[in-house]
Amino acid sequence: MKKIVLIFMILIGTLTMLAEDTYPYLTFVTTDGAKASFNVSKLSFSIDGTTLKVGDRQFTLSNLSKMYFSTEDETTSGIEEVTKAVLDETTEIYDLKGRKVARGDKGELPKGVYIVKTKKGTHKLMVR
Amino acid sequence: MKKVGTLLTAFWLTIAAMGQTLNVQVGSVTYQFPAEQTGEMIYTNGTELTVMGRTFTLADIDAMTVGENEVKDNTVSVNYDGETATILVAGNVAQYVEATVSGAHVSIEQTNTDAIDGDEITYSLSGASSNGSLTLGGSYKCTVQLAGLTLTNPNGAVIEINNKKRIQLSVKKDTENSLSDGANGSQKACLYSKGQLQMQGNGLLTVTGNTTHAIKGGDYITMKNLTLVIPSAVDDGINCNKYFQMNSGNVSIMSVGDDGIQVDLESDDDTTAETDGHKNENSGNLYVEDGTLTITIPAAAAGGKCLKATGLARISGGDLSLTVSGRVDTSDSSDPSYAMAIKGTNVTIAGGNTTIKVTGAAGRGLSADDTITTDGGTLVITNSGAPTTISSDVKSAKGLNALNIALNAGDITINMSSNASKAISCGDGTKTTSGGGGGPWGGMGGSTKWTNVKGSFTMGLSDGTGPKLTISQTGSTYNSSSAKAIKAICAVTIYGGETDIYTKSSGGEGLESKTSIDIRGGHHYFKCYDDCINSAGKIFFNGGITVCYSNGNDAVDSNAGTTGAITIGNGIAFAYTSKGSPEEGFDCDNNSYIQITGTGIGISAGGNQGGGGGGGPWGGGGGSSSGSTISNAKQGYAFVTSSISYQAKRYYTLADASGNNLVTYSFVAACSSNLALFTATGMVKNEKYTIKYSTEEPTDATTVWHGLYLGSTHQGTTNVTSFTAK
Repeated sequence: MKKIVLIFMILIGTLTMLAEDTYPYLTFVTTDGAKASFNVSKLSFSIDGTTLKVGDRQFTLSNLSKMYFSTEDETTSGIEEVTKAVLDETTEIYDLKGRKVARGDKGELPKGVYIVKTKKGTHKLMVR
Repeated sequence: MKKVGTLLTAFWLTIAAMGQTLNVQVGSVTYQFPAEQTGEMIYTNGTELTVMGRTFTLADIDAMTVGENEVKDNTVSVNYDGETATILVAGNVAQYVEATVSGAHVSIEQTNTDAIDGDEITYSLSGASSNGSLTLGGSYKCTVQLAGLTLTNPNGAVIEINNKKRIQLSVKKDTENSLSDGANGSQKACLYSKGQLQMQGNGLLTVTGNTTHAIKGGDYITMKNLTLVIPSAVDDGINCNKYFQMNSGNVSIMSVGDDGIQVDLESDDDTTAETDGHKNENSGNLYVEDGTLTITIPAAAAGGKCLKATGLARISGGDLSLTVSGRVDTSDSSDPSYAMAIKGTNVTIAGGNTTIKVTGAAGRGLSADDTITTDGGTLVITNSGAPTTISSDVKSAKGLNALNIALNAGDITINMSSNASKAISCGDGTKTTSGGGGGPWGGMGGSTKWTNVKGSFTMGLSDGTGPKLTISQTGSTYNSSSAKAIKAICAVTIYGGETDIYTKSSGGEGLESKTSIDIRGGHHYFKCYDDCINSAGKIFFNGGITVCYSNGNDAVDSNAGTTGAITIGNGIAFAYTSKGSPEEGFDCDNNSYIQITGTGIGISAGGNQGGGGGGGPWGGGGGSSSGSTISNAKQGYAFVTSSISYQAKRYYTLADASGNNLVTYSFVAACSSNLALFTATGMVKNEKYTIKYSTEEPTDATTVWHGLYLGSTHQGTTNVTSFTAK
């Protein structure tokens, strides 16, 4: 019985690992190179004439070049480039859980996605 | 350990089920692309989307979703539901499958010409519809799986596979499947495959053919494991080309209009014999190697056969129950077609248990244009088919019917009960009848000669082994055609085996040859109303032990009319008749025609040696002109013409002057003998011999066979007769 429980636990562990390896996003790439990733959970599409509607987002079909399943959100479309000057004007940085984080001595941040507040507005920042 | 295995299986199934899948629906067809296989999916000009090599016109797509479907590679699933059908196509084969659906009628064209990801496509069919079908085309092998399908097509075939490659029809384990086509259609069958059809699986498949055949293969058909039921078919139950092979499973075929299983040659290919592994075989052969096969041909099926092969029909295993009730097909009056259990150019029974019941008029058990061979197995034929007259010729029922018959081994039982029937009929030739006449003053109908004789009848092998052959013939004469056990136009040679033959009525000869009979080995017993053994030619007892008891005619009768008509070689023959004069133990028209060429035993009892006087009421009894000397006899002999009244349950011993037992013999019934031949191993010319009997049956004989006791020290106690050997 112990053996079975052990094997079962190993399987569950393996299953969890494999589950993490699946593709939670479907990423669309437009002809200008922009990407938009959608969580595939209960994702539906509809094509209406020249438009592809994905969730609450619409794409003009002629502007789409490809799509693929991805392991992470690769959305680039609609996100402004964050420059060093902008970062210098940063007043506050939060992680995705809403916790305020502080930059290091050299102004670096650990890898992750952050919400950055500046005098000019709020930005989403991905550190790789 | 089993639990662990179960957990592992469940685990992997769970893994398979968890993968994301892009589902692209076009009409009733949904293409399922697993996320891990798709790679980049390309949009072109805003009008097309290409996924895993399949290009969709975007305007045709009804829906796209991402779900957590389980997708099994190389699989196309078709589900029938009333008036509709839906299809799921695995992404890895999507580019090779073009499916269209109209109502519940599905048409699929498969375009691959090689394996896909190392495998072929499997079409899995399930659901139910009373108005549906599948038409499948392609040029590469595939599997059609029936996974719980009930399908009727009132307007054509239910499954029509025009792919000429190998088709594996797999009936999923524990599923029940039923196919029924429409009547008066133009389809070739309810289930048709243009290519090689390999039927297998552990489920149940029921197929009904309402226009022609239930199942038709344009190429070969093989069968393994599955349970197949064909309740009815307008034409054949199963019809195929090249060859048919049943390896296992359970097949039942009933109420067909023609044959149960028919195999033809493929006319577009070269004809072959059986090939190694049946590779590229186009033999027209039919093989049953194992399994259970039950076929019933109804009375309405004119000329219907349970198994019909253009080539060889070979049974080497399995349990077969074949019932034939069909009438004669006289649509071609010059070549009537009879109801038969098994028909082929050649028929071989090499194993298994075959039970045949024939009730159709002039029906046959086994029939071969060329040769019937038995090499093993058990064969039981019960034939009660009535005689019929076609173009003034009596056509009668037969157990085995062929040009050549070789009963090499096996256990063969033939029970015939219809008038004019023959348990075994073989050989052919040109028949000429002259003189005589059948009237009351005629002799035995003048003389009938056979010339250009073809064929052969053999029983056993040269090593002395052979089959066990049991024949019961209870039929009578019909329009001058007698009911016989074995009738051979050709020569008969018996090397071995064991024979037990019974006939009941006048004309019911046990073994008749129009050419010659040579018994070289085995044990044989004939209990016949008419002649036990009869030949227009010579009869040889060169080996074996033969006991002939006739209660209505001669025991052994040769009409050769020349020296050597009956020859006692190294064989043993005990021949007697209880009919009384003029019927004889050994009848060859003249005692001097008998030859003794070996050291066997010949004992006869019956009436005086008759001439060819005939059997009519005024026919001559003959006998007075018969000689009493055998030229060049190799051992002593005697013709005893004094009256001997043999009785049943007495054991008669032929002993020499010193009292040495040469042979002991007994009778089934009382036999009054006026002519008895005695010759036995060790008999010497001019020596004296006695016959004595006792009522004590020998208990120390080394060989006992139907009244013959060999190797015994039995001594009679009551004198019967004595003689000096010539």
